[in-house]
Amino acid sequence: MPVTLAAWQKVAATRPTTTEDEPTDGDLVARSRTGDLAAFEALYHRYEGAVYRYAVRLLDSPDDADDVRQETFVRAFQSLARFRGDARFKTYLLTICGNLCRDRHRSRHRRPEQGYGLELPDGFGFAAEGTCPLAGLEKAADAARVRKALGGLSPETREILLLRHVEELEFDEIARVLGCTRLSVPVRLFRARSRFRVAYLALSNDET
Amino acid sequence: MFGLSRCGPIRSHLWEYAEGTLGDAAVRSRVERHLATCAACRALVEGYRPAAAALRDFASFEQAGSPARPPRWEEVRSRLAGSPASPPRRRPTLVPALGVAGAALALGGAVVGIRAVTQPERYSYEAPATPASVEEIGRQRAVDVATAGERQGGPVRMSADPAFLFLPPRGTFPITVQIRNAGPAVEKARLSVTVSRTPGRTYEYDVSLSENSTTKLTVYPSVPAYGAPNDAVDLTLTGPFPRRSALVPTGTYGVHNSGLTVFGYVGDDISALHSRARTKDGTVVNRRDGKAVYGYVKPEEAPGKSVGYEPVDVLVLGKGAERLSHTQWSAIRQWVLSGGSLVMTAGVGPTVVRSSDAAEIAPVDIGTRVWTVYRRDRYPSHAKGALVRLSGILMPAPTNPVEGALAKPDAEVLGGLEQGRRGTVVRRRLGAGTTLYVGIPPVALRDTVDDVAPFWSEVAALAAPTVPANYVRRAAMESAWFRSGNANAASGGDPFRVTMPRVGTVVNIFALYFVLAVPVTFVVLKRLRRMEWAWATGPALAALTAGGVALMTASLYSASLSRRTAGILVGSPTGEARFVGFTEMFFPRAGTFPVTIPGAEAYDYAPFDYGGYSGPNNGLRRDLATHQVGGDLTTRLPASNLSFRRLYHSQTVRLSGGVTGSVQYLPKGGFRCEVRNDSGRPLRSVFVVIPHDTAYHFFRAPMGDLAPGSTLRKDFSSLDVSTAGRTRRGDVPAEEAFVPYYPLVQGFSHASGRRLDAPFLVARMSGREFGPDLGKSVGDDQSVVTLFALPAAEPRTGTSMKGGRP
Repeated sequence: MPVTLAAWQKVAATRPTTTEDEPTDGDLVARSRTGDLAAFEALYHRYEGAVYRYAVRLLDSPDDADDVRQETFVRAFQSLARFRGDARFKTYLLTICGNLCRDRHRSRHRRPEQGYGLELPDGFGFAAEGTCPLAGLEKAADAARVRKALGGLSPETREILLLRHVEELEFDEIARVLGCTRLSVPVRLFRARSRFRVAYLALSNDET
Repeated sequence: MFGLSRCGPIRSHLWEYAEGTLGDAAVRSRVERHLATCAACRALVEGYRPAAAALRDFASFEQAGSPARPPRWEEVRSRLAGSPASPPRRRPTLVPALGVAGAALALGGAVVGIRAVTQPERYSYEAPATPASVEEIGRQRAVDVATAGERQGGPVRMSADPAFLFLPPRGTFPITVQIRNAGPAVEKARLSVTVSRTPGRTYEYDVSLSENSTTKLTVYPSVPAYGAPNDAVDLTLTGPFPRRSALVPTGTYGVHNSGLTVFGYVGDDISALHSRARTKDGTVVNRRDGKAVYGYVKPEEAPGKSVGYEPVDVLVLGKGAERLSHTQWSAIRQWVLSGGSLVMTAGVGPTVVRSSDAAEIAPVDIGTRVWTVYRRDRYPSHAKGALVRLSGILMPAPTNPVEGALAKPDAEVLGGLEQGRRGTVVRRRLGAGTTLYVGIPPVALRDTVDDVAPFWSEVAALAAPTVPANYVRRAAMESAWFRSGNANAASGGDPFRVTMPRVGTVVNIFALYFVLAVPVTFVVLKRLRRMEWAWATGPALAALTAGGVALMTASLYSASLSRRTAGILVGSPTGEARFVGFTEMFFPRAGTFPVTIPGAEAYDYAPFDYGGYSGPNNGLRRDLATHQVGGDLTTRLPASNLSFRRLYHSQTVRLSGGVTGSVQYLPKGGFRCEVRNDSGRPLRSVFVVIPHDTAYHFFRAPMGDLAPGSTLRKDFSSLDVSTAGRTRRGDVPAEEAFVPYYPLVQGFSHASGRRLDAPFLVARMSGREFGPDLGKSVGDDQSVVTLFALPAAEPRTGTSMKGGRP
C-alpha cells in the first residue's frame, strides 16, 4: 500500500467539519422541531454527504441514491417528533435511509429496470479533489477493487460493513439502523468481514 | 477449524487486531496468547490484514470523496414548506390479524376434538362340542388342572377350574381356586388372576393359608365378550414358597349376541340337563343341542356372588341344592332381582329346602307338598318316553306320583293337575327376574325321555325374566340420556357444583394473548427498536395469560369432592331391591380415596375419565374384588387432579317404600300412565320408561314432580323415543311394537284397554341411599337418578293402582 494513512487524513481535513462554535445536533433538532427550516438546513448540509454515500453504496446507483437522500431528509423532518434524541441524529438518518434503500431494493426486484453494475460513479473519485493524481489513481484502483468486492456481497452484508467501517457507527447504533438486537451485531459483523475477506482476496489474486 | 469454546470470544477481536486498532491492551494480549496456540486464528488474521487495510483505505476514500450529486436543499425545503410533521405511516395490520385468526382457528380445532368411535370386532359363535361323557370329562379336567399344580411339588398346591363347567365365558367368569397347604401357616400369599394374558388386566387377592388346611375361594375375573381364540386365565400364587400356577382355558365364544340360551345347573348329577339320543341299534349317545348351552356346578362350588351367575340365562336348581349356603342363596336372590331366571325343580322341592333365603324367593310355599297321582289310564296315548302337553307345558309323560306345590299369593299357577293354587308349574315375578317352580326332578326327566331339549326350551320361555339382566345393565347405561337430556331438571344444571370455565372464555383468553403478544413483539417493539425487550414482554404476557386461566380454574381446585348416581332400581315385593347403575365422581384434587359401597358385589371402575368408556363388562373390572360376600365393598380409588371417574356397581338395598306404576294402552291411541309414590321421599322429574322391541329403544313419558303418597295420571299421544342414547320425538307406536321384546306385555290385551305394567320409573331423588360413600367430604348435591321397576306384586284387575309394597 503506497499511500499512508497520514495522506488520507490530510485529504480528509479538506472536508468541512463541525467546530465547537457550531450548534450541536441536539440544538438543531430542537429548533427544527419548532419548524425552523434554517436549523434543519444546517442538519441537511451536515449529513447529506453521509446519507448519499451510504445510499449509493447500497443501491449502486447515483440517481437512486440522490432520490433517497432527498426522501430521507423529508421523512426525517416529518417524523422528527419520534426522534427522542437518545441516539445520534446521524444514526436516525441512516436508519431512515437504510429503510428507504431496502424498499427500493425490493421494488427493484419486482420491477428490474437497471443492472447492478459496479462501474465507478461519474465524477466520484479522488481526482475530483485535485490532489496527487498518481496516488489518486492507485487509490482509485484499490477502492474500485473494494467496491467490486462489496458489490459482490449481499445487501445485508454490505450494509453492516459500510455502517461499521465507513460510517463508523457503534454496535448499538448499527443495531438501530438494521433493526436487529445489539447482541447479534458482532456475529453479523464477523460473518460479513469473513465474506468480504474472501471476496477481496479473490479479486486481488485475479488481478495479480 | 475453530474450537467454539476457545476461539469464540477471540474471533470478534481478530479484525481489529489485524487492522491494528485493538485499543484494549488486556484484550490484545489475550488475543496474542491465543494466536500463539491457534493456527486457524493465525491464518484468519493473515487473511484479514490486506482486507482490513483495503477497507480502511476505502472508508477514508469514501469519507473524503465528494458526492456525485450536489446537495439540493431547496428541493427538500420546498417539499417541507407545505407539509408539517405528519404522523408516521402505519404498518399494515393484515399479517398480524391473519396470524391471530390462524392461531384462534388452530386453538378452536384443538379444543373441539373429535373422538373416533370404534366398534368391537364380532366373532361368530361356535358352540362347544358336546363331551362324550360329562362326568368323565369333568373329572378328567379337574384332574388335569390339579396335576399341573401338584407337579410342582412342595407343601402348597393349587388347582383351579371354572365354577360352571362347560359354560362359555362371558362377562364375569367365576373360577374356583383350591389351595392345599400341607406345611406351616402362611400369613401372606398373593393370588394373581390375569385374563387373556394381557398385562394390566390382573386381579389380585391376598390369601392367608392356615396350617395343614385347604382353602377354597372363587374369583370373578371379567372375560372380554369377544375373546381372542385360545384365550386363557392365568392364575399365579406367590408366597414364601415356590410359585404355583394354573391355567383355565376360556376358549372363543361370542355368546352375547349368539341368541343361545345358557343353562346353568346346580345339583349333584351334573349331567341332569343333558340330552341323550338313542340310535337305531339301541346305543345311547350324547346329543348336541344347537340352541342351548349347558353348564354344571356342584352346590358347594356355586358362586357366592350374584355376579358369578352373570353368564347364565336360566339357573336350574336340582337335587343337592339344599346344601347351598346362605351366602349362595342371597347371591342367587340378588341375581334374580337383577334379571335372572331361576327354575326350582322337584329335586329341590319343598321338603328338602329349609333355607329361609330359598323360601323368600320360591314361587311356592316351602313345606307344602302336593302329591298328584298321574293316572296313566286317563292318558292312554302317553307312552313312556313321549313328550306330552301336561300342566301347561310340554313335558315327558310322568311316572307316579307327580309332585305339586301350593303357589304363593303373588305367584301365577301356569299348570297343574289340581285346581286352585296348587300347581306343578308356578311362576313368580321378582324384581326384574322370574322364579319358576317345575314339579319334575331333572334326573328323572333324563331317564324318562331321550331328548329333553324341547322341554327345557319351553321352561326357558316360561321362566324368561321380566327384564333380562343384560337389558337391565344396558338400561342402567342408557339412563345417561336422562341426565344429559334433562340436565336442568335432573341436576339443577350443575350436578357437581363445579364452575367450569366456558370454552369460549378460555379461547378468548388465548386469543387475547395472541392479539397482545404478536403486535407487541413484532410491531410495537420493532418500531421502538427495542426487540430485545421481547425477552421480558413475552414471559410477562405468558404469565398474565396463565394467571388469568389459573384464576378461572381456582374454583375448580377448591371445589368439593362430589358424586352423582344414576341407574336402575329394581324393586320386588319382598322390599328388597337391586340397584344397577353407576356413580360418577368428581375429584378436584389428586389422591387415593377410600370408597365404601354397602351391599355391593359387582363393580366396574373406569380408571380414566369416562369419555371413552362405554359401560360395564369392558374388562375393566379390577382391583376391587373382595371375598367378603354380603358385606360392604371397601376399596381405594386412585384419581388425578380434576378428574371425573365412573364406578359401575350393583348393590342390594332395602326400600323403605315403593313406587308403583302402570301404563294403559288406550283404544283410541296413545298411552295413559299412572304413578304412585309410596317411597316416603319426594320424587322430581318423574319419567315412565317403556322398553321397546329391543334393549336399545325406550319410550319415555314425562310425568312431573311426585310428592310422597300422591298419584299422577297423564295421557300421552306422542313420546320421546330414546334410541341408543339419542332422544327424538315420536308418535306412540302400535301396541304390537312392544310385544316381541317384553315378555310381560304378552300377557295383556292392550286393545281391550287393560293395563300394561310399567317396568321402569325414572325419577330424580335426593338422598344417600345409593352410590358409594367416599372417604372424604362429598359435595352437597346428592341427587340420585333412579329407575324403578316394580312388577305386579299380585294379580290385579282393572286399572287400579297398587301403592307401595305389601
